[in-house]
Amino acid sequence: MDFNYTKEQLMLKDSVRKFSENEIAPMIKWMETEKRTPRDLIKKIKDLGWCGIQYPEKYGGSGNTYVEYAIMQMEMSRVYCSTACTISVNGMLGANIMKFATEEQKLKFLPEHLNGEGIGSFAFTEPSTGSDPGALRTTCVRDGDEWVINGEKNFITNASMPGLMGIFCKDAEMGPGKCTNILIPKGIKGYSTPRIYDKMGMHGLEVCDVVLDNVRVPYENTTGGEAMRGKGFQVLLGSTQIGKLSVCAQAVGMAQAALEAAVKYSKERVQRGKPIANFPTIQSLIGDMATDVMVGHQIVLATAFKASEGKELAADAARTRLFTSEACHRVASKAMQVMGAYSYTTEFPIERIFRDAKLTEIYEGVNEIQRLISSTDLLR
Amino acid sequence: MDFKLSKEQELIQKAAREFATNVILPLGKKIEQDDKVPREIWDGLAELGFLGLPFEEDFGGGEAGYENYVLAQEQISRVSSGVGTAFSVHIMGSDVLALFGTREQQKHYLPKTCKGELKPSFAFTEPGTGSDPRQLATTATRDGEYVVINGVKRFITNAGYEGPMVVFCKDADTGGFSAYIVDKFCQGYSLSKSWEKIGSHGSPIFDVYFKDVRVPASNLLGEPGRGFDILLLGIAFGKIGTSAIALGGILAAYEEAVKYAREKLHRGKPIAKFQAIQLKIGHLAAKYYSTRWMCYRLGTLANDILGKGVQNPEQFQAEAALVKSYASDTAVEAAKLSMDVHASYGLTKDYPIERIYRDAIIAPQIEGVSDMQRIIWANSVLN
Repeated sequence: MDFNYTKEQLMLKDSVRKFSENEIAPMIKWMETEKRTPRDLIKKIKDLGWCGIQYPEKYGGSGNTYVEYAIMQMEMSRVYCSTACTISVNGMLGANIMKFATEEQKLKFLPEHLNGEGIGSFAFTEPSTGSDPGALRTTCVRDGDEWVINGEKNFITNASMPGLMGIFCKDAEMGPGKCTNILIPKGIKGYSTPRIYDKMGMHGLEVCDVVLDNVRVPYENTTGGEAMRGKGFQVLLGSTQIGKLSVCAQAVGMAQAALEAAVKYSKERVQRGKPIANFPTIQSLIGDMATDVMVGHQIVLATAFKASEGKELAADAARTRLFTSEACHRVASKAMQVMGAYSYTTEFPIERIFRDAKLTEIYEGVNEIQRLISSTDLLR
Repeated sequence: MDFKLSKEQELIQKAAREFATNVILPLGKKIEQDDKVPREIWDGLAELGFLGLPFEEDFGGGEAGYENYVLAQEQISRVSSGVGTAFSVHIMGSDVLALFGTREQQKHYLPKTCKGELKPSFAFTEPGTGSDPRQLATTATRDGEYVVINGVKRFITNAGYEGPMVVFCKDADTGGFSAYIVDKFCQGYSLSKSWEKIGSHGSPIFDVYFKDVRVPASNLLGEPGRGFDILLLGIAFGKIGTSAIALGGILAAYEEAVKYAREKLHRGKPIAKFQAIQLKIGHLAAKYYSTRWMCYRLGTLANDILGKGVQNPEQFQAEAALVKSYASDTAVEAAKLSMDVHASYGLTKDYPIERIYRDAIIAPQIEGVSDMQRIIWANSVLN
């Protein structure tokens, strides 16, 4: 047992914090208005090696673990969660490739995926299914050396940006309910994003509908090759856990930001001749918030550590997600109580954090699903 | 960073779990009825080395680090919060001797406390104050080479066992606030009947009367007039135990809910098959998961204090406040969730949740109520 950050981890934390404050923060207003992420911001993050933090060096990564990844995600989300999330979706696809792809595929795709211009997408959800692979309608049909893909995906993050997409398709040839994961370069012939969603928050995150109209990619793009054909559900589960870890880290990062905002405000805001930080009611709120942040921080690191060990993560990730997302929501809400009417204005970042926070209880499976997953192994 | 139990830690956890299951659990009913920790349990705890776990080997301790104490305490409190509380106060009383005692005082007491021959107590609370030292009414009056102690202490655990009691007093001459070591059952020491209380049976609490109790002036603990430092750090160390007891309660609530859900049938299938029950158990599991690392972490922070001396304990004290309030409030929520899984049967003494539910409510109220802990922690964040 050792709960201390190493020197390297502290340095990483510090440099992500500085980068986020100096490079991301000035762009937030633009991203919130334009509802896009500047492509060169992504490139800067990639150049720093933070998209490849948890991958081995031979695939273009920096050879660290999911603990470092979680630290990076927490610090970036403290400034702007949308950007952290954009990066984390790249990480989910990367996790799929790392876990299930053939060695040849890893060497072919990962260096560009981790360091190149584009940013990855992970495409499962469809209009008729959020988590049931049996209900997929997007199809893949083998035609000689190629796959032909047809269908629609929705709520796909980063789909409007260039890069690689891991797409889940119904593979009728393999039998009923079977699905296969295929890697496609976004923007190729037959690929379009007819709609980018307007949302409550997370405005820097580009979430799209995707239409696939006779998209053709080499048959060898099957993630994991022939052996993994028809085993798409396994691929789905393998990376959603990492996706979930990212959500947890993002929730803690945002909660930290909300706490800091409330602390700062409470020391500046004077009532009856003294800062409101001196009132026990405010202290009690701050104490609750800081507890949620502290507990969330520890369990994100604990779960990230387990991920690094390659251990089965489903239950722990679900439990961590359940706690951190609820904590994030609570903390953001309490920060607004501390800050009163000002918190509701766009002058302060807390209204954005409050809107962004809600998503952590929803994506990668709503919290009700997390509770069920958390109990599955126990009640079997 | 390393979120894993070492081999040694796993062994301690396992030994504690086996002892709890094989020795404490069968005596559960007796503990509840007699409101006493049976002799064989104290002997067993001593034999396992638990009563001296974090203390120096020179004194017969295990030098094992407080995270190991948390692991052991969690498993013991899983089956009996009463035994857990008696154990916790034993360690806490030993803590202040190890932290503030002179080498002579330590040599005199710790070898016997580590063996369980003596059981320490910690006595601050009085009828007139629970947490404000300025309101203390127990006095220590210097008389040559002795001090004479007069007053009443309230809600004192382990007061009925032989051993050293750390007694916080107002110095009559200076008005300062100091701590003295008093041997229980000395001349002038007497006890009330134990208080009847909601739970934590097995660990009775007493009012303690000091009538002209004379102790050598050398029984002063730490510096004269610096009793407040001892109080704050002692209570912070006490919160390691209280948090671990709460963690044991959460674990018990969680395990009992799982067990019951798999056994109880409804419409021909176990209630575990119903989503409403799964949601509760999923939530319970998350509560255990979120609390355990905080408790273990608090243990490792205590190692730094005991190892490196008592400089700058503020961060540890603040985090102890946080963990104690979080773990104990969570234990209440967990007990409620588990009770809801059990429904009517949970109200009967046939199921452990009846005890777990009563025991859970204790931790948020003791060693400073949760509201106070939040303010301590908030002040550390605000500064």
